[in-house]
Amino acid sequence: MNRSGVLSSFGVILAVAACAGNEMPQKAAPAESLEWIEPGSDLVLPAYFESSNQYGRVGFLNTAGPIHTREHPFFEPQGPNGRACVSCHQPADGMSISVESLQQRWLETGGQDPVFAQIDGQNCPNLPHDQAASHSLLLERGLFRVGIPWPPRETDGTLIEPQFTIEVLRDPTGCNLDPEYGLYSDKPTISVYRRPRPATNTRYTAHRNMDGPFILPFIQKNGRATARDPETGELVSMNLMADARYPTLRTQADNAAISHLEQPNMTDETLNRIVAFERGLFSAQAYDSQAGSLTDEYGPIAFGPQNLTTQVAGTLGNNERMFVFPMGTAWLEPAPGLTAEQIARRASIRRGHDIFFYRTFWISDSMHINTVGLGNPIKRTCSTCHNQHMTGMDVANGWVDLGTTNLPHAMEEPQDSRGRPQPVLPLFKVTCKPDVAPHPFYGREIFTQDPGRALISGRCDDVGAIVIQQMRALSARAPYFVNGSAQTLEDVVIFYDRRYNIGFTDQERRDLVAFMSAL
Amino acid sequence: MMRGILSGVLAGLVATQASAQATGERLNFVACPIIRDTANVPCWLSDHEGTRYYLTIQTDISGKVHPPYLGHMALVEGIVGERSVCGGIELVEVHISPLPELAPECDQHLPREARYDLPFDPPRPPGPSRGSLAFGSIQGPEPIEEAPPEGPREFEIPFRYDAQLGSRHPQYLLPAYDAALEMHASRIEVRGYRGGALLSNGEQLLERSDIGQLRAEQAADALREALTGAGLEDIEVTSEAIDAPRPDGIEDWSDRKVIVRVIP
Repeated sequence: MNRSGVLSSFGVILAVAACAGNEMPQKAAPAESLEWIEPGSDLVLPAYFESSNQYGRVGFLNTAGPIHTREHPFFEPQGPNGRACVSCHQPADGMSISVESLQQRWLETGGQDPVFAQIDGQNCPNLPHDQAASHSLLLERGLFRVGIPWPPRETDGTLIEPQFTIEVLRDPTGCNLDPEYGLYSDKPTISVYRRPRPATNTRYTAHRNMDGPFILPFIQKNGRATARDPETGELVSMNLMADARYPTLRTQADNAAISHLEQPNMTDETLNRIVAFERGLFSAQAYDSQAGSLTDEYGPIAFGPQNLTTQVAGTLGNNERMFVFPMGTAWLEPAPGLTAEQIARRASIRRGHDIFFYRTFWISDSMHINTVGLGNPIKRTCSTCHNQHMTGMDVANGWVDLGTTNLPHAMEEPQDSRGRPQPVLPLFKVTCKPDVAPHPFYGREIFTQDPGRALISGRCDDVGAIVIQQMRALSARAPYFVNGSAQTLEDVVIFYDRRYNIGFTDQERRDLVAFMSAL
Repeated sequence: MMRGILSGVLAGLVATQASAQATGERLNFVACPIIRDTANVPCWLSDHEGTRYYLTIQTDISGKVHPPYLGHMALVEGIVGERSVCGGIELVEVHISPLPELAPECDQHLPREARYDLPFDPPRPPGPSRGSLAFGSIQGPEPIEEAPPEGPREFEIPFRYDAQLGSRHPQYLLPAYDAALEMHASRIEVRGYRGGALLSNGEQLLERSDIGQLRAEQAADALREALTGAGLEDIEVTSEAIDAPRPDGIEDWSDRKVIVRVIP
């Protein structure tokens, strides 16, 4: 988050207005206190406010109205490490957390902020807590350690026989070969390092659109039974988290409390309040520094948090009836009173949309895209994979291998000044067992920084398959991809350009960045 | 569906090529697939004994024919048609199975040539279409035979050669699932078949030896878990592996399947 600040007057005005109809006529939070909300803060979180970032301002909208952070379980420390949900899901950071915020927090607290907790805020829990090097993945890439037991188990505890063996080829954090925390410890665990997903726009990410064809009793990627809500028995979209390992917001919160907050005893009431809060949240860029307001009367439906409250959730947008991010005829003609700069920027954003939606290229060797009846390769567009209306997630149970963690496509390691590789992420070798069909694009040996869904399913063809993230509030929460390997939106475009040999022009790259920054 | 679309779309294309294989004859072979770019939707081809055949255009999940993969050989089973499409003789009623093992030599990607562009009307981009899906709604299978509501019902689930349960099967599992819920089924019997293919050159292919068992178990597991989750907690689901008769080159693809029998 850019520390130029939260748009205070707007926040105050909207907070007061939203309070008028209920029993909470509290004073809105001071602007600066919304830039970083500490666990245990005593604030009134406005129903709407905007926070500055590199490209403009991101809007945070709580349709439930303003709330007290004091005694709200999303904001109160829940466990011994002093963390709350808000530690890693900051409203000003699009309900995720940016590297910029983390670095600033390190400087301001000398590394004592609970966000740097040993359990996952360090490269491995047994490293010296007070040294920045112990937190290098968090401070440089925004990555938290996710320790996943191996081998996987069904939800009823039944052991899953993996279709592959896994070896640790490279362990720069030391955690995967650690005798206490590693793969060969008494409790075999695989540590992967992932960005926290935004706890917002859950109307889409955890949608329950049973009228559409996208929540079926069988997973559309492999035909197996779809997960269900353990409380209600309802089918779920399986689009939460990087690997869809928990089916609902509630199970995610419960398990996040254990693995991130070190609190294994969350009460039903606490979980219910967290989920209710998350259900009402919407985040999106609301103002572009060059284009001006994204949400005024001329603004496209694609933009701003308010429009996210009204659109159909859980439906396919990869068609001209719905669109992934609807622009309609907005901005085709310059609105009255715009500057030349605003007109040019809006035109760039529109072109970026059209590239995203219409610019064809060859999509190849992408598991759960090329293999779902499309063939390999296919000539399609960005919106083929990023197809969910309003979020750009995959509307079908959404894990896909776009190459972000599997070699040879993944952005590997940075190099030092002499061009020598400086490994920062672990590297695993996955070997598919002889009685299993080889992976259709990698064969029997796969090299990966993060096996993704395969750590949960045990399936060879899921190695490196990651649930596609929502493309909202991107400007507030760099870096990108599950492993933080794209530091900027430009890096995102460059990755795909290289991965799929697209051949974007410089102008196309700039337009795509402009478009994504406005989401 | 695909056949209907192509009949209308490609009416202007003329059959001019003579082929080594006579029109109307069955043709089964294993070869590398070839993709050709066009102005809109790419098309898929394959060469066999000096003749180039047209397999399909790029489809999506709703298509009846799913294209092959570069990087893999494909088992192609079809009937030689009359027309030349996209530079190849059309194979009708074609079934395409990408073979599981990698074949990096299968990498032929042909550039666009204007003479092979497909005249879609209305023009159809390869990306987002004007409808919901390019080739109509997802089609589930019909029951093998109509039965009174109170009686057992059977459902057939097709498989590509050597393929296990995958992305194209939810649409086939769903009718069995719905029927089980509708009749409050007490039992489901799943039979997984292992088939093969007799190629036109006389070579016989057989699927991997355990494929019938794998198919049956995977379909049974999926149905059991889905149905118990939906409230049929006492349902009994059994699985059985069956070797289909030796392939004879005539619709061998129809033996690569699972049969689901849903019993009240």
